[in-house]
Amino acid sequence: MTWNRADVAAGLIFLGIGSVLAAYALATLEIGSAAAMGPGFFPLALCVILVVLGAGILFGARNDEAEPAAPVNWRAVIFVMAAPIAFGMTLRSLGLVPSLVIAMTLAVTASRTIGLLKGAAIVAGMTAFCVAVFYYGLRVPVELVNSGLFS
Amino acid sequence: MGILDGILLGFSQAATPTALLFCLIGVLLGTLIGVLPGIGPSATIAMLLPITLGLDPLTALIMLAGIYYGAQYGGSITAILVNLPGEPSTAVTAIDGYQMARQGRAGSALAISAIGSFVAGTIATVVLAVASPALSQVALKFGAPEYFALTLLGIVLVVVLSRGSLLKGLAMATFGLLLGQVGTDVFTSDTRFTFGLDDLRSGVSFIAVSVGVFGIAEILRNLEQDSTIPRALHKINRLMPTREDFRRSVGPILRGTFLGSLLGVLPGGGAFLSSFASYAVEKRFSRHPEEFGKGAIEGVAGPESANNAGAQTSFIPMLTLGVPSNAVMALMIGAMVVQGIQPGPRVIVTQPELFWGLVASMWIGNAMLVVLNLPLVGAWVSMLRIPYGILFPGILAFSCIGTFSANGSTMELYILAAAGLAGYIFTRIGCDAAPFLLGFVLGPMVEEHFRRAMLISEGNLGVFFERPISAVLMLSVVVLALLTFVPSLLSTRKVVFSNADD
Repeated sequence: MTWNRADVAAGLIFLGIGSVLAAYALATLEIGSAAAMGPGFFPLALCVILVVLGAGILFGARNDEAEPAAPVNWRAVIFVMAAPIAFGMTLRSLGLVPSLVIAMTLAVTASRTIGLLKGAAIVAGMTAFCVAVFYYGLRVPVELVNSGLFS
Repeated sequence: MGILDGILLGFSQAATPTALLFCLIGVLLGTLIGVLPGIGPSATIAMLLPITLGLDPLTALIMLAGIYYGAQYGGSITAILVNLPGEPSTAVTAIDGYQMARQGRAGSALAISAIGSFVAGTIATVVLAVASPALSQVALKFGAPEYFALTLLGIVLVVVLSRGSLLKGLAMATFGLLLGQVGTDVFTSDTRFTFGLDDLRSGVSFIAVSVGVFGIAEILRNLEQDSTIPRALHKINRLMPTREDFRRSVGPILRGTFLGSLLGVLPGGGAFLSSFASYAVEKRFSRHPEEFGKGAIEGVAGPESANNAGAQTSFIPMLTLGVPSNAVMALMIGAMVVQGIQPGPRVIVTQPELFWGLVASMWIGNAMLVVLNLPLVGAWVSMLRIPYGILFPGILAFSCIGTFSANGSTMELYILAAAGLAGYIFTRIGCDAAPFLLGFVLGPMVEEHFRRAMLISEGNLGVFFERPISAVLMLSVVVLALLTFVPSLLSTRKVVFSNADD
């Protein structure tokens, strides 16, 4: 028997989300009744629907072949995800400019087509551009470089 | 207020220097991202949402709307010249448009597509102006059961009319609804699904989720083919179509406008479905169907008019009912909420300047597009030489700072990363993000109406079938749900969407 792997994954994901959240709702929220609904009634109903749909998708995945898909570019996934996380962790402590340099360095590392020189140029250009637009233009309330950093 | 008064009010609002400037920025940006295949209107609008917070509501909406219909114009440029649809809605244009370009008739195809889009945009704007006040009058009489039934119908229609498996679409919508439950319950003030995180008390940030699911996930998808592909461009000789081209285009433009205006209103419709339906109609009614696929001007004129008309009229349900018909409209609803406007039928009554200003700006924006884009077509095409390697770090930087600046919270950046990863996983497992975003936006509203209805009826589900309007809406949901299990319909749907992928 062949299984459509994308559909199996989708079914399991929805089943998982539905049952975990249902358990969480049951543990933390008052459910109530249809006439006097508690905060947990509607979420629980949605969880049940999600579990049913997940099971349905899983059932439909039998005897089916998934369409061939391009391989996942893990390097891109890791570095692109790292950029906003690093930006969030360093923005307050280092300031906008160093934080942007770090995030953009991670970003250009994500693509194999960008060499060292081109990458450096993109990092510098993007940082300058974003500082101009967001700091001087839109006046986003952050420090350019954290003033407490050198004291 | 009469329609004429409304239109006058609208032009007085939309013709101010600020409004004109942001309308121009919107349509230029829209054309740009329409031309560039790597980035679409959903991602752009999501990314720019935080920036529009500083603008007044009308200016913000004018700019965001300009991006959406501007993208329809831009997408056709790439479709015709490089056989690469910049937007999904221009995929059909590429079939005959590119053949015309190969025969040295690129100029005619581009001009007809711009003129058709403008005619369609003008007519659809009138439809919007006439239909919306009437529809909102009806909607004002709606109670909780009607609203619940209406949103349910909207969600189901979006799932049926969008690509991919129906079960997956429904699951995505349900997941979106669930995510919309996170935060403080409006009835009891209990916190739900916050997992002890204070940042989640006010709910999961709409901006972070939409930027992640559209902007970041799109980057990951594009980087799967991480290489630089040189593209062949066709030369444009003359822009003026021949008299024969004009004669053959009149019918398709008008039919396309009609079809597009109609399909645009449907949830899940909008530009994409409209252009596809128009192509099918033109091919069937043409006296020389054998020319289709080999450079028939009708195959450009019809779909191009239809997608623009559809883009305009998809604003109708959003503006009159507060129910978005596609992902872009869901983002527009989000933009209104962030601006402190409660979307729904009251908007036209309480904020006429907002509604009519937006309507008038659409006509102005369409005029700008047709005047600017034909002479500038060379400049737009040169944008295609921008490699994606430069584009995506920029998108990433804008997404990060934009998301942060919306609330000044770094927590949002982690949600952004998580939403980006989730959005990418969705595509990998064949799930469309549009129903998810729709559910997420509508989540709080759906629950509120459901609970109100249940309070009125003391827990009797029959209330949805006892009131006439609600009963009709609910029956449509049931019929639609049953129809989707009819095998013949399933296979037609499959054919329609697989054709659209070519």
